[in-house]
Amino acid sequence: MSDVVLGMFIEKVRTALDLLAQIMSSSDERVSFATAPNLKELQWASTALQCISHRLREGRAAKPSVANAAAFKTSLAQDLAIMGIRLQSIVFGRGTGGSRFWLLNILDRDDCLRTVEVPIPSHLDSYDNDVGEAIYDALRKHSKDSNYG
Amino acid sequence: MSCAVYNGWCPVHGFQHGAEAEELREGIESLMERFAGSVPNIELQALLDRVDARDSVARLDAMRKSP
Repeated sequence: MSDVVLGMFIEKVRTALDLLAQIMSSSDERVSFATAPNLKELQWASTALQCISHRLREGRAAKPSVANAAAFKTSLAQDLAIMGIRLQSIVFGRGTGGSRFWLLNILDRDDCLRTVEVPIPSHLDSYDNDVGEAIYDALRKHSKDSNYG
Repeated sequence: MSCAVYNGWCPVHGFQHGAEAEELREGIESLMERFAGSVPNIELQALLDRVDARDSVARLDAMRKSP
């Protein structure tokens, strides 16, 4: 996770909390964590912050680059969860001319199943951290008109 | 252009990346504990104002500089 990706995650949590505070129209009005319709947003924000903290603690002890496929997929799924995206599957593919790509099946916040193809730059290892960032970029571009873009 | 996130003080930005997330998380947990499941909106807004949005701003700055 780079500083840019980290900043993006935190910005999303801040935006959600700020919207929540605005929805509560007066200082006397309180939101109940148990009954309010905003429960989903609060739970998401809390979970996202826990995921970020977990990833930071994990990262302090980890090597700079992800060493294997399992670790790559696990960390990718955790990071996408922070964006409100559930990773259903990720498949490695090779196209004509030796090009490589990741094929992702994701469930967005509306439970819509989407398939996203992300090319792997030729100078990078398939599981390189920078490939993870290319996936985030592709998802942002792919979903400009969706609610997690 | 990426900075080290896990290795303490960042000489480029002048703070520790990730500390903002920890502070926000601690603040949310504190609110939930103090108000026993019911949080005034002014407290939530005060938390967002109190925790410096340095990682968020650094990200926006990096996006502006990238081609």
